[in-house]
Amino acid sequence: MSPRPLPRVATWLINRLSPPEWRESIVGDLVEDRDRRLAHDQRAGLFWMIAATLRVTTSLFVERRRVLPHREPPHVSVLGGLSAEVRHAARALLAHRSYTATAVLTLALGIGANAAVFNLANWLLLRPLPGVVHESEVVTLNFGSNDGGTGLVSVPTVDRLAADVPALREIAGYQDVAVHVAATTGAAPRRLDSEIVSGNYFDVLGGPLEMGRGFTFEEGRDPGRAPVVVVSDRFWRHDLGGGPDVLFLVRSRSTARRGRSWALRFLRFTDRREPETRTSGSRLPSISTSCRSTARIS
Amino acid sequence: MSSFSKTGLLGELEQLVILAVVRLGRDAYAVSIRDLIELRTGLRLSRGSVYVTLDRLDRKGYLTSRFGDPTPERGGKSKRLFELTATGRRALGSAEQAVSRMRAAGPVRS
Repeated sequence: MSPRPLPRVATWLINRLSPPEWRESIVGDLVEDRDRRLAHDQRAGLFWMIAATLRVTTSLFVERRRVLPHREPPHVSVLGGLSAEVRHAARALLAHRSYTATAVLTLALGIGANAAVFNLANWLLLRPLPGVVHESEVVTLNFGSNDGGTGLVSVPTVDRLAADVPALREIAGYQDVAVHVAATTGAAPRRLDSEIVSGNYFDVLGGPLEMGRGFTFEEGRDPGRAPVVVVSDRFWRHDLGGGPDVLFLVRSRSTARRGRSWALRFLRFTDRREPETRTSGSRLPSISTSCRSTARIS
Repeated sequence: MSSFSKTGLLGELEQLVILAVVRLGRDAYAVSIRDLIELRTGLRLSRGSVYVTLDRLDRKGYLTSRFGDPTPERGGKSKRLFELTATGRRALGSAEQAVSRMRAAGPVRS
């Protein structure tokens, strides 16, 4: 014989207050318990049934509203713990939008400022020298003066260094000088930063020229006979019109070259940090007693 | 008394229920667990205490459950049968060791 079902109120309480996974087993347990009590001549009427149902369902109802304390699960692997931390961080960030926005903005500003400072330092200090192929083999020699500053050395001294120091494979001299240039006869001259260099200057630096050629040894020894100028790409484009054959005047402050006309024969693309012009002339009077030097070490 | 201890130690009632599940084997459900505890200890637990403890141990991962076949004696309803998990076995061992170490420290003074 099939047992009597539970009273409808008991079934209603179970369905309203119990977790779904418990409902069927609670009904079965109460039916089983009720029939055992009846078999032992114990009370198991409607009130007993409602009271028993209330005790079970309210206990579970209250229990489910309590929060279990957080405990680390046993035997958590490293990657499993990491992924749990990442998920927790993501949930926390999503839950606090304003904090997340502030953190992201702070990070963005910090990263941007760092990138800007690095780019500035890289531009000023770290980037390769323009026009130098073997940068690790090139050093700039600065000679100290009695007052603690850097001074100039004579061309004979540079020649003696090249001969006496075997560690230097080759040595070239240069001197900064300002020149006034008029691209055409009669035009207003413009002041340019320039260098007077020795004939092997570009051989030491090793940089290729975009057009034409550099200086020859003979041109460096006797520049007055065959004056040669190498100009920057910017000067060539802006002041000389970018033509392949140009003629212009170089009017230097140097007494030896004042008023001379120099034929421009060779052009070179260089960086903006480069001087606009270079003139061969290690034997010119203006630098015969003083120059700086660039050496290539072996 | 049941426990929500943050140390992970089991409460007394939790230990009794787990031990009953182990003793009952594949026929451990709320009614049989309550009967066994009464039979072995003389304690007649309320139905609510047994259900709450089973539910809590299940949520902690110490017990796992499955539904048995429906039977006419239960009005065609299934039993929710419980088994001990490896985590529950470790938790029971830890609780027993803690008590054993405390007892090994010397006699209990009143």
